[in-house]
Formats: sequence, C-alpha cells, structure tokens
Amino acid sequence: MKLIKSIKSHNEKAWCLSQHQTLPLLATASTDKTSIIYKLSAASDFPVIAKLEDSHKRSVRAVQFKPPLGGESEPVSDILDLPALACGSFDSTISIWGIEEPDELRELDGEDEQDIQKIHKTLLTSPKSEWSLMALIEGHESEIKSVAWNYQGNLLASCSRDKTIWIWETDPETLEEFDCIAVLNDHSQDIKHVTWHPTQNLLASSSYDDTVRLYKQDEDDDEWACVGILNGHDGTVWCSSFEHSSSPGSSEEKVRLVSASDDKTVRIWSSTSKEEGTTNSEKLPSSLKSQPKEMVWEEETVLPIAHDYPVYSVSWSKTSGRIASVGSDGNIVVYKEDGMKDWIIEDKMSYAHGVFEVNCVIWCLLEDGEEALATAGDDGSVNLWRL
Amino acid sequence: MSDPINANPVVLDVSQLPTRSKKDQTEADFVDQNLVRNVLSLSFLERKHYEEEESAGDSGSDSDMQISGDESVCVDYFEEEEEEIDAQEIFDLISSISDPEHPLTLAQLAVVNLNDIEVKNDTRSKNSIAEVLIKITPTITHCSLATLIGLGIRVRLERCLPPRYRINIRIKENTHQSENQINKQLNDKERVAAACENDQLLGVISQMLSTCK
Repeated sequence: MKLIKSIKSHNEKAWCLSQHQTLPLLATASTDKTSIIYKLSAASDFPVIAKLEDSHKRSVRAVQFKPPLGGESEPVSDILDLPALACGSFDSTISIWGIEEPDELRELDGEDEQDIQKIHKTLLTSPKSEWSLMALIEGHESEIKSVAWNYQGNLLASCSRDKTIWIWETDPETLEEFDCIAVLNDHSQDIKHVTWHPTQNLLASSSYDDTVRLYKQDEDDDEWACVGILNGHDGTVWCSSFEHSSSPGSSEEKVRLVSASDDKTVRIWSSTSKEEGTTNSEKLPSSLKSQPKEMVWEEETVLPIAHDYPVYSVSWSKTSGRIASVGSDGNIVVYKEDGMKDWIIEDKMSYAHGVFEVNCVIWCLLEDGEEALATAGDDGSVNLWRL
Repeated sequence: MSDPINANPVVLDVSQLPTRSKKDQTEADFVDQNLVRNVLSLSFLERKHYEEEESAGDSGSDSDMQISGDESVCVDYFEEEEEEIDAQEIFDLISSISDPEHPLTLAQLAVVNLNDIEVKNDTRSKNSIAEVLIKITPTITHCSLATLIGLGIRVRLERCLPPRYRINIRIKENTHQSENQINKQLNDKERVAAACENDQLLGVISQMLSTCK
C-alpha cells in the first residue's frame, strides 16, 4: 500500500467520508462542524470544491452523497442529475446540500452526446459550482451517528443515540420535502451506523447493543420491520457494509454483509433467503416459507485478526470484491477472498495516520478510474492510498 | 445541593499520597515539611511548571520544582523529546481532580490509586502507540457519579497526554454494581466526544478539573 496524498483537511477529528457514485467527489465530516468536498483528481492535486459550514452547532459525524437518479444500474439520462450530500450531526439535525444547475449546461444543445457527458462531469465537479443548504431535517432527540441513502435516492435513513432509526422519503430530483415514513426502535441502545444494500431496499444498522439488525418493507402493508438480527460480536458494532451484487465473488443466491466491532474482529454474515416476491420460492427451505418476512442469516466467517484495538470502519469494494478495515490502532487492513469462504490478508498499513486513530475507510475511484482507499483520522487528515 | 450520595467517605491525608520516588527526598529535605504539606494541599501546583520544563534539570534554582517532585506534568502535544510517562506521572495528572460532590480530590478519596494505574509503553519506539489503564474505585458501589468521575479523568488525560496514548478507564472489579455498563460508556470514543460537546456537562467537568491547574 502506498500513500498517494495526505490532505490536512480539518484541525479536529475527521469522522467520515463518502464518495459520489458517478462523479470524482469526496466529502468529509469533522468535529470542527464542517464538511469539505474535494475532487478526487490526482492530476489537479485533489482541490477543494466546497466547504460546507455554518449550519451545524456541533460535530458533523456522518456524510453521504445521494446516489444517481434511478440508481447506478439504470441511471436516468434525460434529466440532469445534480449531486447532493446529506450530513448528520451531533446537534441532532441532518443538513442536505446541493448545487444549482450551472448556467453553461443550458448552452450545450447540439453537442455530441459523449462530449456533453464529459462537460457535465467537469462542470458538476468544478469549484465554481456553489454548494448551498437545501434542507435541514429535525426529528431525532440526540446525536445523529450516521446517515444513508437507499440506492434510488428516494429514501434517507438516519440513526441516533436516541436508539431509533428514522426513514425519510423524498423526491430524489428536487429534494424539497423529507417525510418521515418510519421510526424503527428495535435496538436497545445507541445506534452507530446505518447502510443500505446497493441494489435493493434492505437496510442494516449497527449498534452499541452489540448486534446488527436488518430491515425491509412489508409488501402488503408497506410497514418497515426488522427481518434479521446478527448476534456474535462481543462489543459495540461500529459499522457494516454490504457486498455489491456486481462485485467479484458475489452470488445471486446470497446477500452478504461485513461488520466491524469494538471486539477487534471483522465478520462476514450471509443470507441465502430470497427477496419477497421472487418466483423461486419453491427453492427455499420449508422453514422459510412459513415466515416469509424473516431472513435467515448466519455468520460465514471471522476475517483474520489484524487489529489490536476496536475496529471502527469497514468497506466492501464493488470493483475488486476486497474488504478494508481501520480502527483505533491506526492500521488499514485489506482482505481478499481466496477460494470459497476463505479470506486472507492481502495488505496491511500500520500507523496510517501516525499515532492517531483511524475512524473511516472507503473504497473510491479516482478521476482516472483507478481504485484507491480513502481514510479519515483523529488527526483531521484524509489519506488516499494506492494498492 | 441535594443529599450527597456518600455522605461520609473515607478521606486520606494528603501526606499519605504517593509522590515521586524517595530519591528526591534528600534534596528536598531542606524545605520545611509542613510547608510542603500546605502547598501540596492547595494542589494547584502540578500544572504550573509544565512550560518551564527545560529548566527542570536545574533543581537547585527552584524549590517549587522539588515540591511538585516531577519535571513535566503536562506534556506538549508535539514535543519531540518526549519523556517516558510512568504511572506516577499519570497519578499526578489525575489525583488532584476534585470529586463532583465533596470538596476533596480523587486521591484523597482513594478513587484513584497509584497501584491501579498501569502504563504500557512500547519499548521499541517512543513514537509508537502506548496504553494507559486506570482502574477507579467508586466510594460506594451504587455511586451514580462514577461515570462522571471517569469522564473527568478521560478529559484530563486527553488534554494532557500526547495522542499516541490509548486511554482505558475501567471501574475496579467488584466495586460497582453497573461495572460493565460504565466501562463500556467510558471507553466509547464517540459517546465521550459527544459528551464533551455538551456545555452543561463540560461545565461540571471544568469545575472538577479546576483544582488541577
């Protein structure tokens, strides 16, 4: 692993990172109450695109870019898709940020389709585009720990120390209104993290109560309900990440999730149960037919132990199928699947942020298409790594 | 103020508290012992000299130095020539924190004890991650202030220790009925970070730490 660039982003802890799914944009979250958006371009030395400030009274704990309209597999091309970002804060509010349509875009008629795409990308990642606050969402009683958009961008989930998850519905094109359609209070403690499956409406939450829970919407009555509990960690679960269905190693039959915990372990869980409404129900074991709403999950494996202290973040690469984890010990560990259910450590970097703790790791794609890792640490830095 | 949770705690005399090893004693002998006791009980001494660390070697020139008995109490974050930190030094940093309900320090109440502090330094390098383990003994097993005391200790150490230290604060085994719950809360970095943004809580902690300066 080699350091591509260390960006001194914040003077206080950097908690979280998010990359836009189709644009080379990276967002940060920090104790200094701000979020910064960078362009993931090595050629132009990772310039700052925007600094989002003056909207939160306490730490910004979590950030996530809204996915492209229609989802990444079937992007909508006839509407201009402007990037947007959700920030969750310890002040118990969520801010939604976006940009106005750049004037130049209106003058593009008649150009070749491919050229237009390129120009779009350049304009939407330009520091000239002004990021502004579009909405401030209130509802949680205490600190928000994580925010996550579903794959179509019409649902936003948030979780908090108040032990609840709120699901907000919005129009992904305008992002004008956010209506709370569900409050999930299955966890018995502080909820640390939420994440959606990359291609279906399946939500996973990680908690201080040492469990991960999974939720789906009932097809008949539209109610959101807990459909699975992952028991096994012996400490707070800090983060989880779904395997992407297009990632090497994934199988159509199986949904997999990786989780990272205070117990220093990283675990993979899998469920072979089908989504409701699929025609393959005759293939399911009889035990599942009687309870169609429940998913059966089992612990598939514990990844090789490589952390000496709590593991705070884990990310499953859509591109390469590898998993990366980081934590309090400052290590970045990269695991790869070696045959069936067998995982090995492919790479490890110690002191990735000097002696500081590392709070977040994500896989990202740089502007030139290269896969890289981005990490955020207590030193306020964002580091980018080439494997 | 409402009724104290523990109205009659056992109190140690300041002179009973552990200080830097006896070897300093001979040099310090010429200072009147009563004076030492009185000055120590004011307990504002400890941090006063940390900026004068360079002159610490010159012990004869400053008798206050000998009274406080150690060279550096608060180590600057980015100081390169960092002294090895030991249990006594950690004790000195936290012993003078005030109890939230008694006008006494945590050392006087034997909430913090030198024997319950362990420092694990990596011998390979002074720049590697090290660990401080502190076990606190609440004065009574149902003390509802134990979490607050632990938080005060954590804030004090996070402010004073270099970032390479991982701070582990635990309730001494079998001294509190909610031991596991408190341990988990005190060592959750996110909960601690959020607590430190709560002005009311931070106010109480500042009060507790005001006797450290």
